[in-house]
Amino acid sequence: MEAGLVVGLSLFFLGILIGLPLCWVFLGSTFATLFIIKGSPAFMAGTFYHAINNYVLMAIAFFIFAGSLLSVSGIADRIVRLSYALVGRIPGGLVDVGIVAAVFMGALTGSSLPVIGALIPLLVPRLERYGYRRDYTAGVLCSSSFLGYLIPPSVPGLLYCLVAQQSVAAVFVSTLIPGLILAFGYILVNTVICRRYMQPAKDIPVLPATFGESVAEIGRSFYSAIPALGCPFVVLVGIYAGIFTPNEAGAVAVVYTAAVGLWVYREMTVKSMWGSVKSTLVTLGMITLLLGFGTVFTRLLIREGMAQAMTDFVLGISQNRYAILLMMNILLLILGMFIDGIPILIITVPLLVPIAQALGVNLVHLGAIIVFNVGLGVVTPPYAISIFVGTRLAEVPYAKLVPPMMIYLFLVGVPTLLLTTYIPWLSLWLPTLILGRQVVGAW
Amino acid sequence: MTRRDGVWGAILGFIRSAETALCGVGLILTTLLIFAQVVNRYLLHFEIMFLNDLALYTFIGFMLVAAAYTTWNEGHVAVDVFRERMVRGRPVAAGAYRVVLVLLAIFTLCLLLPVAYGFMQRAIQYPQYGTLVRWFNESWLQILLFWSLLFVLLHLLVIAWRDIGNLVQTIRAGSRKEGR
Repeated sequence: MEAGLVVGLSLFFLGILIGLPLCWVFLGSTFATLFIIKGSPAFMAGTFYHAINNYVLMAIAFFIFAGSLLSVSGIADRIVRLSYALVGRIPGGLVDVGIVAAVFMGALTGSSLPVIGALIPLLVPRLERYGYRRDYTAGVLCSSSFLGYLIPPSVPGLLYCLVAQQSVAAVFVSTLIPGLILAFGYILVNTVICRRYMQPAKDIPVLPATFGESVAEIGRSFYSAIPALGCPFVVLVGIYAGIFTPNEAGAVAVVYTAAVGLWVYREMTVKSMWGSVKSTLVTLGMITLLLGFGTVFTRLLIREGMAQAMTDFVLGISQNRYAILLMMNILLLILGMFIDGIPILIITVPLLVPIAQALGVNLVHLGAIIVFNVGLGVVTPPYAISIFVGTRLAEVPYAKLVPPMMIYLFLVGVPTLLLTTYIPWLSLWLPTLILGRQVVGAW
Repeated sequence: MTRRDGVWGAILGFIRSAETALCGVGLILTTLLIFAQVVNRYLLHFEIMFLNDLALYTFIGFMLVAAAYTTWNEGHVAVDVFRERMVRGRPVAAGAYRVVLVLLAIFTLCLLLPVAYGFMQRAIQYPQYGTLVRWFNESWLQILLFWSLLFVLLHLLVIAWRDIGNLVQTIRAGSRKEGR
C-alpha cells in the first residue's frame, strides 16, 4: 500500500481514538493523504457539493423528521396500547409489549433512537410498578431499538442505497424477514429469562379476564391505533405499488405524522413540532458534514487504489465466499463497537462493494448484511448510542444496562446476523417476489 | 457582561436565530414542495415538472446551513469513550483536551476554506442554471457552500473561545484551592 494511504488511514484511526468529531477526522485524513502524495485538493469542494446534491439524501432527511415528529404526536401511546392488547397475556408479556411496539415503531421511524425515545419513558416506569426491573426493561428496549433499522423504511438502508447505487425498495424489504426473526427471537428469550429479572410488584396489571374481553380490547386498541398504523401502510404500499418515489414517501410520512398528531390525536402543538424541527436539523447538519467529508475521503482512497488493494488483499487471504463474508461481519461488528452507523456506511460501503462483486455476492444481500451489522453496532458496547440514550432516559447506570443486552446480543442478534449472511434466501426472497429478479439481480 | 460582550452576543444571537429560521423554513418548505408534487399528480392530475428540482435546491441550501447550525449546537458525533477515560477526574486535563480538539477542527477547516473559495469563484465566473427551474442559478448553492463553511468556522472559534475561558477559570480555581 502506498505511503499516502498508510498515513491517511493511520491518521483516520488516530483521530477516532482521540475523540475528534468524525467529520473533521475525515477532512484531516484527506489533507494528510493529499500532502503525502502531493495531490491537489481542488476536487474536494466539488465532491462535497455533489455528495449532498442527491434525492435519496432528501428521503433520509424526511424519515428522520417523521421519526422526530412521532415522539410528540401521541402515536407511540396507541402503538403501546395495541401491543399490550396483543401480547400482554404471554408470560413476560409486558416486556414483549415493548418488543412488538418496537417492530411497529420501526415501521414508522426507520431509525433506532426515536424508538427508544418514545418507548422507554412510556414503558419502563409502568413495568417497574408491575415487578419488572428497570435495568432489564430498559435493556430489552435498547436491544429492540435496532428493529427500527430492519423494519422498512430504514434510514441506514437509504444511506446504503445512496452510496452503493442500489434499489431503495429492494434494500428496504431485504431486512424485513431478518427483522421479524430477530423480534421473534427476542420474545422467545424474554419468555425464558424474564423471571430472573423480576422484583416484588407494587401493582397488578389489569388484563382482560375472558377471551371475549381480550378480543374486544384488541379491537378497541386497534381502532384507536388505525391512524398511527396508517403511516407505515401508506408509505410502504406507496413505494412498492410504484405510487411514490422514496423521497415522496418520506414527505408523505412527515405530513401524515404531523396531521395525525395535530388534528387526530391532538397531542402535538406548534411548539413541540418546532422542537422536532430543531432536533431534526441537528442530525441533518451532522449528516451533511459527515457525508460530504466522508465521500471526499473515500473518493480519494478509491482513486489511490485502496478499494482494489483491499479486494486483492482479502481475496489473497481466501477465495472462500463464506470465510470472507465472516471477515466482513467481524470487521463491521468491531467498527460498530466504536463508530456510529452513518460514518461506517460512508467509509465501508465503497470499499466492500468491489469485494462483494468479485465474490458474486448480490448487492441487495450485501445491503441487508451491512444494515444488520450497523444495527448491531447501535447496541454493542462500548460505543452504543442506544445504551447512551437508554441510560439517560431510564435513569439506569450504563454497567447495569449492558448485561441483559449482552444476553440478547449473543443469543439472538449474532445468530440472526449469521443466518442473514449465510442464507441469502432470507433477505432476497421477498424483494425478488415483490420487485422481480431484474431489480434484485441474480443470487 | 461588558458592552463589547453585549454587542458580540447580540450579533451571535442574530446569526443563530437566522440559521435556525432558514433551516427550519427550508426543511418545512422542502417537505411541502415534495408533498405538493404528490398532491398535484394524484389529486389535481397536474404535474409541475420543476417542483422536484426546486425542492432539491431548497434542500441543498438548508442542509448546508444546517452544518453551521449543528456546529453551534455541538452535534457533530465523535467517539468519546477513550477521551472520557483518559481525562476522567482531571478537570484541567479535560478542559485542555477540549481546547486541543476544537483547535484541531479549526485547523483542518482552515485548510479547506481556500479550496471552497476557489470553488465559489468558479461558480461566480461560470453560472449554471437549473434544467427545469431555468431562473434558478445553481451557482448560488456553490457560493453558499463557502459561506456556510465560514459560519462553521465562526461557531468553532466561539466554542474555542468559550472552552479556553473555561479552562482558564478551572486552572485559577485549582490554584486558589492549592493556595488555601
